[in-house]
Order: sequence, then C-alpha cells, then structure tokens
Amino acid sequence: MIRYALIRILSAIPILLGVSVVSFGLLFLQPGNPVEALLPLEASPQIAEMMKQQLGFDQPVWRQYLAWLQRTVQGDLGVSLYDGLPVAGQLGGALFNTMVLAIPAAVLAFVLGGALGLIAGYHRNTWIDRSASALAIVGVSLPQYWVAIVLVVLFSVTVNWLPASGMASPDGIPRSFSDLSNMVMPVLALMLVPMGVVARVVRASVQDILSQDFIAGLQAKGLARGRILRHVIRNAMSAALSVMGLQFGFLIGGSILIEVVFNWPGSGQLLNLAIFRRDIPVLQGTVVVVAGLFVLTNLAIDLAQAAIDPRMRR
Amino acid sequence: MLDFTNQGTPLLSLRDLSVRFRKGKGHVHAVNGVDLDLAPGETVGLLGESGSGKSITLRSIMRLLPDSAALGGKISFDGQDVTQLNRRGLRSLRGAGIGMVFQEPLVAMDQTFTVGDQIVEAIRAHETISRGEARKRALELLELVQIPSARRRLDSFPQELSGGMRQRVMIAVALAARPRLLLADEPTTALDVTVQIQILLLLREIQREFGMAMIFVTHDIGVAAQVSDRLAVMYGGRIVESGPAGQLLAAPEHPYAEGLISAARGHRDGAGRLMGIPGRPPRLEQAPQGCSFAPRCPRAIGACAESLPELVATGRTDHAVACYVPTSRG
Ligand SMILES: Nc1ncnc2c1ncn2[C@@H]1O[C@H](COP(=O)(O)OP(=O)(O)O)[C@@H](O)[C@H]1O
Ligand SMILES: [Mg+2]
Repeated sequence: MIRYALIRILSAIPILLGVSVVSFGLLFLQPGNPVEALLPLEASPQIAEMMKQQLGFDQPVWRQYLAWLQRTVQGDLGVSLYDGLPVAGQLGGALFNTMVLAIPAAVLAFVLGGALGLIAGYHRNTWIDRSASALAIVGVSLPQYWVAIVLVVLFSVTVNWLPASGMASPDGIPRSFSDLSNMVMPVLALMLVPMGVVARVVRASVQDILSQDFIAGLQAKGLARGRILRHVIRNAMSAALSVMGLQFGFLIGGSILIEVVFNWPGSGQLLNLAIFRRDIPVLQGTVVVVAGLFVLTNLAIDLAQAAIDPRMRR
Repeated sequence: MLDFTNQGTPLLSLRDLSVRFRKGKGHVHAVNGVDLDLAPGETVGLLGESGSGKSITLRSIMRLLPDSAALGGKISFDGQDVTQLNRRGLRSLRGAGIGMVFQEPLVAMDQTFTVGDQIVEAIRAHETISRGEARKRALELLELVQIPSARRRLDSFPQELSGGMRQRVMIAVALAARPRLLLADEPTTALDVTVQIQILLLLREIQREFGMAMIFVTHDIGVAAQVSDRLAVMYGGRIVESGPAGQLLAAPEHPYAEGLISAARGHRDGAGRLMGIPGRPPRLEQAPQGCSFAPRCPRAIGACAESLPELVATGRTDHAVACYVPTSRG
C-alpha cells in the first residue's frame, strides 16, 4: 500500500507539470502580443517596449515559463492587471468561498446519491428502482441555472424563506442559522448533478455486485442482511469515489452560473471577471491552481480507493 | 420410497426435490425429483457430469437459489422443514447448521475483506463473542486447515493466496460456526492434482474429527471414491443410482453409472477407442416424461421413454437404482 501510494504520488508530478504548461500557454492563445492586448490602442511603442521588458516578455518562452513556474510553486501568482492586488490573495479568498459551497454540496451529493443508487440497485426493476432512477435522471438533466432561478422564485420571491443572494458573513463562514440560510439554495443547485451521477454509477455497481457469486458466499455464512450490505457498500465504494472525485473537481472550479445567480464571490466569479477584464495573471493563476487541485483531488481519491479495495493497488 | 431404516433418523432428507428456472419464455428443469437421505457423520459423493444439477441441488438445501428459481418438494434438516424457514431460521441454518465450500473460492469470497475478517464475521454471525475472541478462533481455524504462518495470513486478502490456500480458507470459513453438515461443491476441481489430494485428505480428516456429515459434489469418480461412504449418481436433474461407494463402483446397476465408471477406468472398445457415452446430455426445457438417459441408453426399452423410473431398492444393502433394466435384472 505504501509503495503504491508513493508511486501514485510521484506519477502525479508529470501531470501537474503538464497542467502548468497548459496554464502558462493560455497566455499565448490570444492573437498578437500579450502586452498589446493589455495596453490601450493609442499607447506609444516605447511604453509597449518598457512594459514588455518589465513583464519579461522579451525573454525566450522557456525562460519565461521556468521563471513563472518557480514563482507559482512559491505561491507567487503575480499581481492583477486590473487592480494591482496580489493574485494569490484574491484567489485564496475566492477558492475558500467556493469550498464553502462545494464541500457541503459534495458531501450531500455523495451521501444522497449513494443512498439513492443503493436503494435502486437493491430493488432492481421495481417501482422503487424506477422512482429513485427517475430522481437521479432529473438531477443530472435539469440545467443548473434553471434550478437556481426556480429555487429563487420559490423560496425567496414566493414564500420569502431564504435570502435570494449573497454571503451573509464577510468571510463566508456561516456562524448562525441565518448565515446558513444563504448557503441552502446554492448548495442545493450545485448538488443535483453530482448526486444524480453518483446515484447512477452506484445503482449500476450495486446491481453488478449483487449478481456476483460472493454474495451467495456471504449468505451461506448466515450473515444478517445489514452485514451483507456492508460488503455491498464497500465493493460499490470505489466506483462511487471515482465519479465523485471528478464531480468534486468540477465543483472546485466553481460554477460561474451559480455564483453569478447567487452573487457568491467564488473562483467561478473570479474567473468570469478575469476573462471579462482580460486580467491574464488572475486567469492564469486561477486556472493553474484549480487544475492542480483537480489533479490532487483525483490523487486523493485514487489513494482512498486503494485503501478500501486492495484490487486497486496496481 | 427408499428404506434407510437401518441408519436411524437422517440428518438431511430430500424428497422429490425439484428446481425449475424461468428463462425467457420457457423454463429450465434443473432438478427433477431428487430423493436423498444423509445420516449424521456420513459422506455422500454426488457424482454426475456438468449440468446434471449437482450445484443446484446443494444450493436448494441452503435456500440459495436466485429469484428466477421455483423450488418444489421437501427438504428437512435436523427435523426442520427447510422450505418453511423464516429469515431468522435461514440465518442459523446457513453457517451454523450447514456450511458450504464453493468451487471457486476466489469468486465466492469478498476480495475487499481480509481472510481474518471473513472468518471473524462468519463466527460472529452465530455467536456473541468479542472481535478479539473471534480473531483468536479464526487463527485456530486457519491452523486447523493447515495454513502455514497462519497469523500472518489473517491479514492477507484472498487474491494474495494460492489456489490451494484459498480453498483451505474457504473451508475454514465454512467450519467457522461448527456446522453439522458440510456441502462441498467441487472443492478440488480448480486445483492441480497434488493440491487436490491434500485438500481431500484435509476434508476427510476434519470431517471425522468434527463428526460432520458431508455432501461432496464432483464429476471425478476417483475423487468421489476417495472421500465418500456412499455415492449418488446424478443425471438430468435426478439421482439414477445410489449405494455404498465400493459396491456401486464395483458393480453399477444403472447403464449411465456403468458408462461413467468404465469411461473413467479408461476401458477401451474392440477398436481400442476410449469408451465414453455416445450422445448428448438431456435438454432441460421440459420436465422429463420418461428416463432422461433413454435416448443414449444401450439397453433402453419402450417403457423407458414413457414413464419415469423411480429410485427403488435393488436388494443389495442400501443400494437403489432408477432403471427399468438395471444390470442385475438385465
Ligand atoms: N440461474 C440459472 N438460470 C437458468 N438455468 C440455470 C441457472 N443455474 C443453473 N441453471 C441450469 O441448471 C442446470 C444444472 O446446473 P448445475 O446444478 O449448476 O449443474 P452441475 O451439475 O454442473 O453443478 C444446468 O443446465 C444449468 O444451465
Ligand atoms: Mg456445479
């Protein structure tokens, strides 16, 4: 297990490097010189030249990359071109806000989706299965922004139970019940897709597990049903974890739509603003950090899978 | 009906056991009226070619059939009617009353649990003892089935063991709650010959030590002869002949049993070809009208295809055959 973990961790390094190259390359996607894109059209060539030197754009690309990589690894993501504030600080705050929604959404999606999938898988082809599966399909197929708007119309406009938008406490950490109420709708809207995806994967996995011979082996020992359920859950866990890892990755990126609808200053909004403002350092920093976290999340999931199911240790 | 009065009350008794599977629009008649009695401590070898209904017979006894199966007839174990057991009754039947050893230990065990945990839970399903206590017992069981460095093996996963070791673990699991009957479904078929013999000897030893009865399923006559007190030969979901192992092997009465035994002995015909039984195994889409073996039988008479021959005593001790033209009368 330890050997497997080390190999797995080491093999994440080239992936992270790949991520960094792509993130760095983003800069060159836009036509023309990055500096020109930043400056107003009427700026003089001297100013452009000065800016180029200042930002290091006169160096060869690989040196630019290495210098950028070194700074990034040290946590220096540069400063925003828009307001001159350090990107790391802005991004840290935004990511934190996103996590405040993403973590509860992921936990709920995993638990509820897992339970739905388990129930459906156990009652294959009965009305219970069909209802649970229908719920899962509704979860994955409803457009997120539509869900968000319907929730707002229902709970804020019609009955006025929940605030329509915004974070209640300035740092995003809920401290009271009313702070929590701000999170309810965005978490609900974020949770539906991963819940549906997890439910579907777990359902298929449970059906497959129940048809395997070892279930008869467990029954032949005279185990109680609850005890057999533990075996089923453990066997279904690795499939569930691997989809959840992917879904959590998407959640970390922050949903631009949800964060905009609920005015939630997370990484999705930050990315949105950065694109809008052509704020390259913010864009680059957000992409590299979010993508890096995505890779690390999947690494963590792989390790968790291997811990639960020894067949995964290869 | 058979008369086994000389054996006292049987531990297990099957009467007219039948199992039919729903399959598509039709059915598969896997077991078609099996009668079998087993005395405490006795070993019966259930012999028959692949598809003759041996595994399904064993699974019926444990009530481990899939939902698509319809079970008929009577199964009584230790005086209880197994077909009428509720969930609690079934729980204690499985494991504590009857243990089961499967053909493929790897697919019959959960590969995400350690060997130790799988034995511990089998013990704790029937006895309220602490985990530590159960683990001690699990270790004793591994030692009983002669697993080298047993303590270390407690924390291994099934897939980390060799085939023979896995089967030993499977046996330990089956013995965990000290059952009075062991059902062994081709426990050695997947193993190579030397390991096969070791496992057979082990089973025989443990069975004597525990005073446990055993049904040993196999399609290998040599293996069956080694472990069994009595043999029962299955064909097309029925027992066609049963009797004391030595007696049945020396002088089989049913033409199918005869064919099977002479093929296993490597008897050759005049042209030097290995003598097998020509023809195909029976189709199971319909419940048998007459004897399922009739189409392949060298001695078949008109009656054979018309009505099912019952399993009746031949006159020799404990011997019964389901045939209108058994060797002794032929
Ligand atoms: N789940 C099932 N559905 C339909 N037919 C089955 C099922 N299980 C077994 N059978 C059929 O029942 C017959 C007896 O099977 P089995 O008892 O496994 O034979 P064997 O003597 O080789 O152990 C076979 O023809 C097999 O195809
Ligand atoms: Mg079989």
